[in-house]
Amino acid sequence: MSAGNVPVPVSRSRKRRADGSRLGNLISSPLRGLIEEIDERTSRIPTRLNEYGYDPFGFDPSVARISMVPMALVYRYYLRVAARGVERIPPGRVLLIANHAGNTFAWDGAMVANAVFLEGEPPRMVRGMGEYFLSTIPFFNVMMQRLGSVVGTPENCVQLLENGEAIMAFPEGQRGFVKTFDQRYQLQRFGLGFMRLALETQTPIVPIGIVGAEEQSPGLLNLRSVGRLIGSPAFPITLTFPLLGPAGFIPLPVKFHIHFGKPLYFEGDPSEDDAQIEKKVDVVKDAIRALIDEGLADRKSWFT
Amino acid sequence: MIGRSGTDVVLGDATHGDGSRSIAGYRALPASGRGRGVLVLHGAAGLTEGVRDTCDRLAREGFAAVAPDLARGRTGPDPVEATGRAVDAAAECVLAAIDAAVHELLCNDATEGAQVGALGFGDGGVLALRAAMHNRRIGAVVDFYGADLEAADISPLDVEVLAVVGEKDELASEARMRGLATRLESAGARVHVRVQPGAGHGFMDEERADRFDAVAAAEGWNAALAYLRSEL
Repeated sequence: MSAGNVPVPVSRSRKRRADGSRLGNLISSPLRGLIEEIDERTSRIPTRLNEYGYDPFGFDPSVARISMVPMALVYRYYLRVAARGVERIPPGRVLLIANHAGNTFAWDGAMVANAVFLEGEPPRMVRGMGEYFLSTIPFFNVMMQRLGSVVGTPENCVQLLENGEAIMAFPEGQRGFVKTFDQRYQLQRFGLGFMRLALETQTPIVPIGIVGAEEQSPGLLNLRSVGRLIGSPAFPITLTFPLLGPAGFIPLPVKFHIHFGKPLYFEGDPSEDDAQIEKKVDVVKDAIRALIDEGLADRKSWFT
Repeated sequence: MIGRSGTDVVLGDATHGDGSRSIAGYRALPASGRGRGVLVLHGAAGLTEGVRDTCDRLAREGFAAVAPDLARGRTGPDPVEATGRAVDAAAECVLAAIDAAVHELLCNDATEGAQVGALGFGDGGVLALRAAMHNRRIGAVVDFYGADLEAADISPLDVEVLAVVGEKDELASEARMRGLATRLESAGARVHVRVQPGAGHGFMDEERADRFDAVAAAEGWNAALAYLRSEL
C-alpha cells in the first residue's frame, strides 16, 4: 500500500508525506502501519489553524505528528501502557487531573496524552500546562508550543477551555514531580487553581490515577539550591541523572497503568475561600487515590 | 400517539463560533433495564416527533437510544425552510453533538457493550455513516435509503453497515445504493444491501402518508432490529 492513500488534514502535510514516501521504503512495515494510524487519527481532530498552520497558541499538527511517532512507540513497546476508562472523558472542554511523578521527564503527562490520542474515540489532542520555567528554555520552549503545550496561566486555560479543549494538569506540580523514592504514591499538597478554573468555566474534571511514573526514575534527593542557580524550582538527583547526562532522562522500562475515572462536576463560587475550595479539591484527590489503588492492584510487578 | 417513554435531555456543551451552547437530545432507555446502545440520527427535518418515536420503539425492543439534536432546535417538513440547509455533517458542532450522544450512551448504566449502533433515515442514514467515520465507538450502522455520499466525503471506517433501499426508490435507487456500498467497502466497511420489494423512497416515514408503506416498513424495521442485535 502506498503512503499516499491516507487522508491528511493539512495540505502542507500531504506534500511532506509524498517526500517522505521515498524515505518510507527504508522503514519497516509495522512502523509504517503506526505512522498511518497516527495520520488517520490526526485527520479526525478538528483544529483552528491560522495562515501559518499554527493555532493561536502555536500548536502545529504537522510537527506534532512527527513527534507522536516516537511517543507512540514508547507508549506501545517501551512503557507498554495499559489504559482503562478513556471512554469516560466527555467530549468538549474537560480538565484531566492526575498524580505527578517522574523526576526527570514527565512521561506521565506524555503517556496520558498518548492514551487519549491513540485510544480515545474520537482521538483528541490533550493540551499540557507547563511551568513558566519551561518556556524560558531555548528551543525547548518553541517545541513545547508546537506540540500543543502552553504556559499554565489562568488566562491561557480559560481560553483553551472556551475552545472546547482537553487540558491536563498536575495540581501537585513539582512537589509531586521531584519526590524522592521513599515518597512514591504519596499524594503531595494539591494546588487549588484547577478547581477555581473548573468552577469559573463549568468544566467537568476527569480524575486520573497513574501507576509507573513513580518508579520510572527513582529519585535519591532534590538539590533545590542547584536548581535555584539555573532558575528551576527543583534539581532532582536520580540513579542515572545527572550521572549519565541526557541519557538520564530515559526511564526504566516499567509498565504504566493509567486509570481514568468518571467525570466529576462541581458547582460554586470560584472566588470562595481556600478552605471551601479545598473541600472540593479533596473529592478529586480521593478519586485519584482510589484510581491509583486500582492501578496498583492491576500490576504484578514494576514491569508487568 | 401513545405516551413517550423517553425524555428530552441535555447531552453536554459544545463550543461554536459564538460561544458555548448546550447540546440537546432525546433519550429512551430500555424498559427491560439494560441493553445495547443505539444512536438515532435525524435527517434534514430535524429532531422531529417521528425521530423520538424511533427512539421509543428501540427502547421497547430492549435498546438504549439517544437522538442528538444536530439542527439545534429547528424542525420542519421543508428542510431548507427549517434548517437553512441540510445538516452539515462536517461541521464541528455536528460532530461534537454526535460525540456527546455516544458518550451519553456509553456512560449510561442502562447501556451494555463498548460500542454502539447508529441508525438513520435518508440524510440521517448518511449522517450515521459519517458519524462512524468520525467516532470508532460506532460499530454498526443501519442506513435507510441514504445514498448521497460521494467518494470525496468517505474516509476510512471499520464498521458493519446495513443499507436498506426500496425497490422503487426514485431518489436513492438500488444502483446508487450498490455504488455507495462499493465505495464504503473500499474504505474498510462491511456492507450488506437489502432491497425492500415494492417500496419507494421514505417508505418508513409514518409522518408522510404519501410515502409510508406499512408492510415494507414493518419488514424493514425487523431487519434493522435483527441486524443491530447480531452486530452489536
